[in-house]
Amino acid sequence: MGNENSEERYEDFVSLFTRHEPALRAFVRSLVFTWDDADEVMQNTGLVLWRKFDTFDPDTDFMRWACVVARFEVLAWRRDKARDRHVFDEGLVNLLAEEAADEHEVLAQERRALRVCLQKLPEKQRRIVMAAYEPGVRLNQVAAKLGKTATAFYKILNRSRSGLLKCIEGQLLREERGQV
Amino acid sequence: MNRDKFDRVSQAWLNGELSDEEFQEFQEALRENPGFRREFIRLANLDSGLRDLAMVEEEEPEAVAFSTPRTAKAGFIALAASLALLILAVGILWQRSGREILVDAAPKTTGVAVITAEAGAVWEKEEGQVLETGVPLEPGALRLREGLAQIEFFGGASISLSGPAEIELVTRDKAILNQGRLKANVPPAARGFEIRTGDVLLEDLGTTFGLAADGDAKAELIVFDGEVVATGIDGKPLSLTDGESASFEAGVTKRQPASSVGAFAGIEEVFAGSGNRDELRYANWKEASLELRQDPRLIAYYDFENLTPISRRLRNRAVSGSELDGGIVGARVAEGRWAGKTALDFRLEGDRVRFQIPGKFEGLTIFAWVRIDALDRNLNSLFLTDYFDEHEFHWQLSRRGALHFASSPEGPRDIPQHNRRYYSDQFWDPGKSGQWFHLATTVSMGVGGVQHYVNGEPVGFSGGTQMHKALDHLRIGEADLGNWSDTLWPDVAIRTLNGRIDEFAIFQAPLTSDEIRAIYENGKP
Repeated sequence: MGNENSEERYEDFVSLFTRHEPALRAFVRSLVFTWDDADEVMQNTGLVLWRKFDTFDPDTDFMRWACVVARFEVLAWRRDKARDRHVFDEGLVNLLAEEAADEHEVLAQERRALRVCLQKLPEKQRRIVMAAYEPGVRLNQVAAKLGKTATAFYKILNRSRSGLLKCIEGQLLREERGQV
Repeated sequence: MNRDKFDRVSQAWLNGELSDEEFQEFQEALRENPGFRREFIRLANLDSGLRDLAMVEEEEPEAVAFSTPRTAKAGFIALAASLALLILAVGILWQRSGREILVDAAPKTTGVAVITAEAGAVWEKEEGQVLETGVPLEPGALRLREGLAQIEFFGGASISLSGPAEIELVTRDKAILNQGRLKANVPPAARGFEIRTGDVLLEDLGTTFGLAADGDAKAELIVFDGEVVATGIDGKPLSLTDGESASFEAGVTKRQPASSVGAFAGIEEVFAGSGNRDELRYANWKEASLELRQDPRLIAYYDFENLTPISRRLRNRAVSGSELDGGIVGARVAEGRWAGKTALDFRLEGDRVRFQIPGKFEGLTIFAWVRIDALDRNLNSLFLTDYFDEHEFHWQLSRRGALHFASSPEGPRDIPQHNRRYYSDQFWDPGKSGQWFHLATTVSMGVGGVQHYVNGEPVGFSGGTQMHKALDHLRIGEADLGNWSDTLWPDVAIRTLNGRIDEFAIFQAPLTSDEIRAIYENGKP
């Protein structure tokens, strides 16, 4: 393979991967327990995707293909971690993976709608949610930092997530009806 | 599981709050109900979306409540760009090397806590579960059938758990007490430590408290000092401070007079006794050590107490006196079996304690408390005489984790013919790195007089040479603890110990197995 050709190929990969990376991460997130684990699986998935990129047919759906690879990475990770806490069993991973891959377009729309909905949260609540989702933080530390008890903090978080899901649903309905 | 409960449980899953049992129910519900799966996938998708957005906010955590975040869009572009760079770097590496990159597979530590002390603890272990002091514990359930165990969370909190008890370790600062009694000690740095019992969440704001749960949604709490916030199913925080107490039943929290604590048998004794176990063990050893040093059979005895960084002399505490003091070379002062007890740390090629011990002995006992960090060499020194002259002996550890005693009436001459070597059964592997061991060997003259002991128990032999030949008297002369000077084979024979020693004794007679066990019992950490 000539160098030019491989560089082009590489650019194709980067552009596809970065475009689908959030979707792929959401997919992985639905299959593993913690963000650390999800990040580990994602890193391996990225490398495998690039290694196998030659076998990818550009006329097909990248996300579909990536989901298949990611699912195998989750299963491989699972085998290493099966004794760990709260790892879904293999059958459930497969079920969830199939269903999540089928839904990936809707899920992408939902994440887009999330950006609108997040802005609609009261400022204070939005800050609290964002603080909870910063990579690497521990929830009870964030709670302490914000001067809240963990219980109160979880409650705000849970309520916010429920609210966001409702808002997203409404947002998509309106989009469908052409109101946005 | 109904829809409401599913919502609650799946949110708790995201927060990392589920108990093992709840997780099984959660998994079951997902497996059986396609509607739940769909809900869950949407929730995980939201979780991921929120994290994407939070990743690009790039704010100082302290400023969260006040500053204005950048727009999510600008952040998104930054994220994409940085990812592209990352992947580009990986790709270039890959292209350069022309072969597969090995993904960094360095093992990550998944431990959240460690058992630091036990007293009569009997664990109910799951298959493959290792419950020993010093071994990191992964998240999951611990079942203590009886006895006491002190568990330190990596987040800084520590608890004394009294069996029978069942506790689930969730994270480095979170646990669920299903049944049993505990006393928790939470230093200010570990503030926010959480314990859930039944439907009540306790948050510790830097304090000491006792908690007893009967395994049937009933529990009692007493706060010794500091503040604990208890939140039950009504969601209202109940704040308890010094000397205050509360009872919990089916998720309902209720204040009660501290005097009524004790509905569960034995609670006071746990709360009173468990905190200072370490100090008690240390004090107990000191007392035994004062008695031991009077033993007329001692050649020399070193308690390694009160060493300072400038100590260069290791005091002989036996009646034989300062003539037999050791000279500390290199080895650094470190913590011993208990906080406050000093030890010497051996690591570098020069580290050792030098001795000059004259005499001819018709029997021998040699023991040491040793923390083995690694066995890097084929042979690793405990106590070795210089060279290996007639009747001298070597006491050391083999690479595969066995005690090794050797002596020859002929010295180093014609070694295969004369050297009596006695390898104990293997007792150490790298999983035991950092734990303290009591190692002892007794020797009587004649044939078959060597006996190895590990932690007070006799151990068998895994091999040796010329073991059928008689041992004559023994000599020491110039010798090293933790190393070997004046070696037989200067180029190949580095035998530096990698670890610590905090007590060492030599007797001119073989002690009985009961005596060895008593010494172990009095000194175990």
